[in-house]
Amino acid sequence: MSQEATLPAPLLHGKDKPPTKFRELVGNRALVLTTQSQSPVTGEILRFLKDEEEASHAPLDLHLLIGEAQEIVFPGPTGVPIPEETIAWIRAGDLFEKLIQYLARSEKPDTLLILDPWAALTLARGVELSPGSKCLFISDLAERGRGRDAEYWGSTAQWIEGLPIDQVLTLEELGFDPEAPCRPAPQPRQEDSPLRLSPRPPLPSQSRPAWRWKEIARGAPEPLSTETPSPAFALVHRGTPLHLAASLRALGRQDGLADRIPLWVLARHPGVGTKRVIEILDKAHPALALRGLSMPGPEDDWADAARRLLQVISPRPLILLDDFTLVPRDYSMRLKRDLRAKNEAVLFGRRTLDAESAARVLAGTLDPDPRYEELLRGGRAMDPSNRPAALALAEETGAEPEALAERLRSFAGFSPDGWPAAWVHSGDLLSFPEDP
Amino acid sequence: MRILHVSSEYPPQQVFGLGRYVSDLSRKLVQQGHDVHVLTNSIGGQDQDVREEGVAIHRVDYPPPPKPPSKGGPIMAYNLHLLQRSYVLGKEALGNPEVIVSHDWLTSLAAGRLARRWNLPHVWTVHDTVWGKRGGNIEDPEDVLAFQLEGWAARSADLILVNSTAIGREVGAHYAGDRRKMELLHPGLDPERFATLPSPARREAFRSLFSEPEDLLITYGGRLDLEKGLDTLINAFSILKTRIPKARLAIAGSGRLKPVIEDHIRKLGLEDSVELPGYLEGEVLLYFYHASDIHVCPSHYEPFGLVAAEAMAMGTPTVVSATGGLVDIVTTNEVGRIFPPRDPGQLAEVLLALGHDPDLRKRLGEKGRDHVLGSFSWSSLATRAITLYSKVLRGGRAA
Repeated sequence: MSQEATLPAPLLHGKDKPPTKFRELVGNRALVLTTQSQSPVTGEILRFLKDEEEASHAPLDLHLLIGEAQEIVFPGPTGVPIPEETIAWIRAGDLFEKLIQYLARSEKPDTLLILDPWAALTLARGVELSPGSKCLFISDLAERGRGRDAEYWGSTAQWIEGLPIDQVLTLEELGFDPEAPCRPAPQPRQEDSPLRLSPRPPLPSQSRPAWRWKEIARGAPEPLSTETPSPAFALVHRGTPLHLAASLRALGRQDGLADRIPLWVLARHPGVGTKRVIEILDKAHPALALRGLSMPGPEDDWADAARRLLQVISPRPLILLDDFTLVPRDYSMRLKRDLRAKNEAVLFGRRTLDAESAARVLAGTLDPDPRYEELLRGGRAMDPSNRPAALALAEETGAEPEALAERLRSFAGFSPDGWPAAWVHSGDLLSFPEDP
Repeated sequence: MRILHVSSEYPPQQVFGLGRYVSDLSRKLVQQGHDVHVLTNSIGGQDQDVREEGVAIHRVDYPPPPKPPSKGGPIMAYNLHLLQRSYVLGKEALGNPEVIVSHDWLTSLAAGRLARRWNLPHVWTVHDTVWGKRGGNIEDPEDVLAFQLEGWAARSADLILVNSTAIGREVGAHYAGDRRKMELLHPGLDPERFATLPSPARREAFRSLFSEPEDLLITYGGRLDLEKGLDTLINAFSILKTRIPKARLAIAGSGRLKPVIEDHIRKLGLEDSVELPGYLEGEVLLYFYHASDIHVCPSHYEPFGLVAAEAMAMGTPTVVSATGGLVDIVTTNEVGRIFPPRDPGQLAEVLLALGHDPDLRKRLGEKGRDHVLGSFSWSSLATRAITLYSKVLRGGRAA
């Protein structure tokens, strides 16, 4: 390490101290590296940078690379866990590959902001990945050294000293309580917790300057441009919280998303588990902006809630799903291409998601159904059990909510209560007439 | 063709026999005019780039300090080091490969990611599986890791090369391996090593280390491990001994089971008839096979069973249990003998029949030798490997 940070006071939580020093250290274009995307440290630092950008109106071009392992490992058949530290090495390999791909195709960042030791070790073996970029390492090694495997972490700390890191910031310096490094992330927007459509979203993507998340996926995904609005999703929750989490995770892994996807979860009488899944994934997934929409029951009027939803999302295309539906990882990209090419509806296939599959989707290990390729390429399902359902496209209907509602109604078939109740059930979606 | 092997070991470093396989195949491919690079572990903890017998070997300094303490951590850290070393070296220095070949779960992750980085096909070679080795009892965290990495490799590799039909069944049944991308590639023998058999005088001299000329010498060579079925062999030998008092058994090899085996031999009162000469290798091992009247592979689980092929190549009549790849080697009664695994009674019957019939032993030895040298020669197997690699090149990378 070339030098140690000599920051005099907590930077993140010291309300009476201007948090500008850390912000200044980060610079204007930063690449965040982490293998611990779920850790409170990661969450708080990213939240701080986001809030700081919004408060200062000073654009921060922040990119995030997350080392992942769910494609490789998932909860084992015997229930014996793989040690978290071992999985972190798998994530580090993933992060290393993403990093070299990112640097090969993108503008060099001012700063590499490294949030955990495994992310730091991607710089080992004399690999000089981004010469000229400043390297900041947020170190929790002191905390780790006080736990188990103290000797190992002590050696690791020494080893990391030999890496090309310009500055080390400890959790203590950043204002984390070193005695409780794993406390949960702050709970913002408590008003959003109940499964009610918030009266106030503006969505992040609608409040420019936006919080420009760009999760860099494998390869070189084409970012969604701003010419055509990104789709919004409405997901009808019919299964267990596990199913819901699986579907949301699958959506959150879409390639090439520049904005947070607005996604409404429609649920009847949502339970604690459902609410919890929405709360957690809203915080955990940079690519999703989740909202809950409570549906009181089949006997009540769904139309009002649905109309409110349509008003909020307009003029976005709306994709209707349920939590028994899986979409492939490049679904949004395909959708976008089709929107540009044909300006017409894109169809999606569905696949019944049983509990085991849901668990595997959560772990990222479920192979995509090859039939999706056929469904999506042809725009039509060949298998009667996987007939395409419908997409309502705002552009096609002049972006007027009422027209869109009409369009939806035409897809779903007329419902006596004025709104396509059938819309919320994939089983009913399957009986839709083919897109004219 | 330009091929990059990613292997956890390469001679002189050998842990599981993988290194020898990769070395034999690589050298034969080089002899056939192909450009072969191997990215592998270090000896003495230093990065090293050398060329040996035409094979370019790139060794990775591992393990560097500190060694991760978690189960499976060192192996996953090693895979990161392989990726980093490949990045530092660059594609050109690694031979600008057209195909990347990994071996077992130990390097499949690094190889798969490297193939993805360079948009190349990844060929996963399966020498054994943790499912098979543990009989489906995946309980240790490192076994769970291995099982999951094997599953990932089965899903993501463009071509899966299994070393026996039994391993192919395992990969298909327990890892959802797509049979359409699975091919059989047996390990091979170097015919030159087996071209000339020792003279009768030499054979007798070597044999005298273990038995008298008139004895019936039965041998085993391999690890002293549970899955190798040594309990079956010793129990069968104890039965045989009542019918052929001059039978002797020599068990060559080392392993964690040695004290248990010694204890079992004592309990059966066979101390004077059974010998454990320890670990034998190279020419000595070949002489050991050749000095035998009968060689036995009594495994409960055997992914392929190269030892059986080697013993047969030395002209020794060989008896194998009907498990794993052993039945790919002893395909008919003309070339060897098969008995049901874990059945000492049946094995004793087979040994008794052979023990009483020197002409049958001679015939089996000759036909077995012709069979394995014709079917398991590295020359033809290396040619087949290239054919299979070419297939995946023509087919392009799987999406």
